Amino acid sequence: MKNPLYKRLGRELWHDLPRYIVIFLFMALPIALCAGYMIGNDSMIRTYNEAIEKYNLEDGHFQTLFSLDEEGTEQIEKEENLDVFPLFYKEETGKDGHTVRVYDLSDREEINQVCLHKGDLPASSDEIALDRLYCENNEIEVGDSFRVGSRTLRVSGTISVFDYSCLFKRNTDTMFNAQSFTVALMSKEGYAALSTENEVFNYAFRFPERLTEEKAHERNLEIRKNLYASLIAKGNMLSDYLAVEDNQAVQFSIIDIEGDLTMMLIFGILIVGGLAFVFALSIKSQIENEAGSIGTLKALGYKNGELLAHYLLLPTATTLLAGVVGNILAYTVLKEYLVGLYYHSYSLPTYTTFYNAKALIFTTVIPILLVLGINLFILLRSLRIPALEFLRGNLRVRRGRKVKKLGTGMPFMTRFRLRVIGQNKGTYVALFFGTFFACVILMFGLMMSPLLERYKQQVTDSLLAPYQTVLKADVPVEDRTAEKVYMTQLQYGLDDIMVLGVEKTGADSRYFGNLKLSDGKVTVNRPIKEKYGLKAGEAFEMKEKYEGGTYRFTVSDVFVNDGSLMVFMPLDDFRETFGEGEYLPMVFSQQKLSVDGALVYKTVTLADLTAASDQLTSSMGDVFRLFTLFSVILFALLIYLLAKIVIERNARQIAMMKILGYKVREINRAYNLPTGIMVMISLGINTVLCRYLIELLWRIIVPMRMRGWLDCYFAPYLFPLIAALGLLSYLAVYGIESRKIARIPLSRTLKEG
Amino acid sequence: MFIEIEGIKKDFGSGDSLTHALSGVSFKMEKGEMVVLLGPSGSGKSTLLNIIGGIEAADGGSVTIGRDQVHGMTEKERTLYRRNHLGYVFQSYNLIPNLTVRENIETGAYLSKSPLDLDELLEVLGLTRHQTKIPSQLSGGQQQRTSIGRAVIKNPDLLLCDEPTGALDSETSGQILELIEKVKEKYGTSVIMVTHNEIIAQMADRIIRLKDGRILSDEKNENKKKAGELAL
Ligand SMILES: Nc1ncnc2c1ncn2[C@@H]1O[C@H](COP(=O)(O)OP(=O)(O)OP(=O)(O)O)[C@@H](O)[C@H]1O
Ligand SMILES: [Mg+2]
Repeated sequence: MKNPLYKRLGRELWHDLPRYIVIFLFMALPIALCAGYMIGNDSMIRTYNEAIEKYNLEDGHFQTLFSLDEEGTEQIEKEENLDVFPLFYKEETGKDGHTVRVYDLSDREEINQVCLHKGDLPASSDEIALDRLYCENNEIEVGDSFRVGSRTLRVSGTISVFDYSCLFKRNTDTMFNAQSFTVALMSKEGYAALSTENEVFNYAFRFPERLTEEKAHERNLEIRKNLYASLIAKGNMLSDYLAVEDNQAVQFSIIDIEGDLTMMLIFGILIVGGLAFVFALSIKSQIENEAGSIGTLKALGYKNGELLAHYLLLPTATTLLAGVVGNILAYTVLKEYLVGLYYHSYSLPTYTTFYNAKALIFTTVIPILLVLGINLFILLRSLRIPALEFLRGNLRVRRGRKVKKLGTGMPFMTRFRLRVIGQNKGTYVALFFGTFFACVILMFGLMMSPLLERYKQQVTDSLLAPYQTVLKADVPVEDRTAEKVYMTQLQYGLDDIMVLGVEKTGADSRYFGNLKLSDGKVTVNRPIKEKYGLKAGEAFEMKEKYEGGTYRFTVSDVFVNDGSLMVFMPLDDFRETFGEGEYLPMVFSQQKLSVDGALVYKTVTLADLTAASDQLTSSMGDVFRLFTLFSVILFALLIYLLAKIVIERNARQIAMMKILGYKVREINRAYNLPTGIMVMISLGINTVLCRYLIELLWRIIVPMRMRGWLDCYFAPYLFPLIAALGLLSYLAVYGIESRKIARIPLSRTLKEG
Repeated sequence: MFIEIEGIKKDFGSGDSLTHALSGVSFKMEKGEMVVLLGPSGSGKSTLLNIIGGIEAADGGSVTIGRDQVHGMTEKERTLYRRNHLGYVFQSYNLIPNLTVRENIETGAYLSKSPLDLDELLEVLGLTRHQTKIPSQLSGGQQQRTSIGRAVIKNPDLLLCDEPTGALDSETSGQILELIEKVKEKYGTSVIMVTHNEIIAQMADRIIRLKDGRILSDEKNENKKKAGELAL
């Protein structure tokens, strides 16, 4: 015979339909998101890996200060056993000061081949093909005219090149920049016709055979060292060397895609876990309400397993359904949307969807196991209580039910309220954890855009000079506002840090008025201090980028300046520490320097510095909005479910109070006010707790995963906002529930004992 | 002998609050017999019944039912013992609120390999008309009849009733007692019923009087009355 207890499930479901629907939706959504991410990511990762061979991706590239002749490249090929491909580019200014990095299409026949998305490759010298994503961001269509430097060209098509699957202008940038930076292709003639002023002598290379990651790393170190030495010996200079493994333009997208998946899965597991907890709590309070019946069934000989099974069926079925519906949603709607988000960030080649059995199993089996596990844990403990205790309704406290003495001096209502709180302790503890969880999600969802805004503002405010130009040779500059310093780059942690040798500070300097230098020591700027926790007096070691040497410095002071990570030292120390040819001059000025363009290595402007936050806002904007919306709803929901449990749990007593003649207002004050107060207290403590938890995690995770530094900032309005949202959610529940309580026929509530 | 109860002891609390709920209770009982445990409030009736029913453990003594020794059973074994042999009725009805009358009784039938015929039992209980109602739509008497139905449908060897009419008026009480009598006669069920009501005790085959956790008297009821004849 089938267990007749199952017959109640239909009615149970009907009776509590809103709760089940709400839980179902909030399980199905994260499951759909996770499944969508898994399917989309897996497809993208496979596409990405296939693209490495399909498009003949370089194993790395290097740049020289002056161009090599044919003999020079051949010598390198022979000495280092490499295939070297000249892949020069010219950086031109497009509309609104955008940077257009133009390559010669004919250089890309054997290496870093092109994926055409729309239109045609440039054929005549007045045609240009631009990156697909840049075009999308700037609403550029095939056939539009496009200004490059002083020339006006026709856009022949949109493309992506795999060596820029992510548009990093410089590998040292914090963020890529698909807003104001694009890769472009022109025909051989078209390329030749551009001014040679800003040409970069870039050489891509491939190892003749495939190497393991470890082997490749060894080779790279060796080649870099050799090239560096041999070029200096010839009066040239190695100005960049980048193995593909270190190339953010290639790696960032895939790391990000993989990292997002991890985040998403953790997020999903947390949400499903939270909901499983809500299930368990509401079943637990149901068991408490039915204590008499359960006790009788146990006395009649029902086994714990049989009772448990019927309680678990609905949560399990809800989860299973959510899993199936979530997966259907994932394949039909979300995958496209999520992949679309990536295509809105990255210049990836066209992709194909691979169907993914692992995702299906993962997103249905894991949630069910989670729900079963948490419920089993919580409910088994309740059900193991002996039948007699059930019959006595004595479930909450198992041993030695102690009743605290409350002074009789206290007004009755206060004592009563304290009793209510004592009685619901367990639920309030759950409420506390629940609000904590909800707060983390909500705060994370809400904090990002003010954080980026503030970062942008800080960078703008602390810009040292409107123009910062790195020169290829130490030539005199004629500009009253110009101040020359010397620059080299060293590595620390994940970052390539600019090290500046500065001569003039204080009143002598227009740009370094607040910079304090001490002989034999260095000054770090604030982002370094924040990111790596370096304080005055502390020593740290930086690595030489190409040769692997190390430098040990002691911090004397922190320079309050935001933006990219920088280390300053007195010029004399600087010259002593670094040899001739290991550094370049850098000029700070109010206007664009009037020097021969061929001598300019690179120019840094405000747009470059704020590019990170602009890009994050643009490419993550949709994600943040999704996240915020989701977190607000989830937050309200969790508060709703938890407060509902508290109020329902007391429904019987409330009915009893009404029968005794208490007025509804008095009952509200006795029962719902304490709950409201507990909600507010939990919220208050948790917003503060969350703030510190997020900051702590930020300080641990950002230095490990991100180049550069963003301050972990909580806009002050977040706190009252979260409190208000919490209060609103509670008031909504309170309204619904108190009306429900008012409508319950008193006799029936009591009879159901 | 069907049931043998030997030297049952039970204390609650310790120190100042120590209560000797039962201090050495022994009696025997035949199959098909109806025994009433009679005594004032606090005399230990419920405690004794719960020990016999295996939902409370005694501090000393033994309970033997058929071939089963209830004392010394593990929690699991006691569950099986109750499942196979016992029916339970309490003063409060403890029905499952969102199951109908019929389904509430089915929860009892589920536990038995050879349950009684449900429709016939509903007829005996006088609940045929009400079988599709849920507990909150029933009167107290109807709810208690449902709860008796749930206990007897499994055709238990022993039916334990703790003040089954405690919450009911005299007329309804009479109906419930008649029902218990009918079940006993029709199905040959042994019954132990707890009450503090002398009149109800008159329907028993045997009356055991308890006071302060001891047996005052254990006598065959010479002038046994039919449940319908009790002057409630
Ligand atoms: N769990 C317990 N903890 C402490 N004392 C208990 C407990 N259960 C019963 N007692 C005490 O044991 C004694 C016997 O209780 P029991 O419930 O058996 O009485 P009763 O004869 O059924 O009374 P009533 O007719 O009022 O139901 C009482 O003094 C009671 O206070
Ligand atoms: Mg009693």
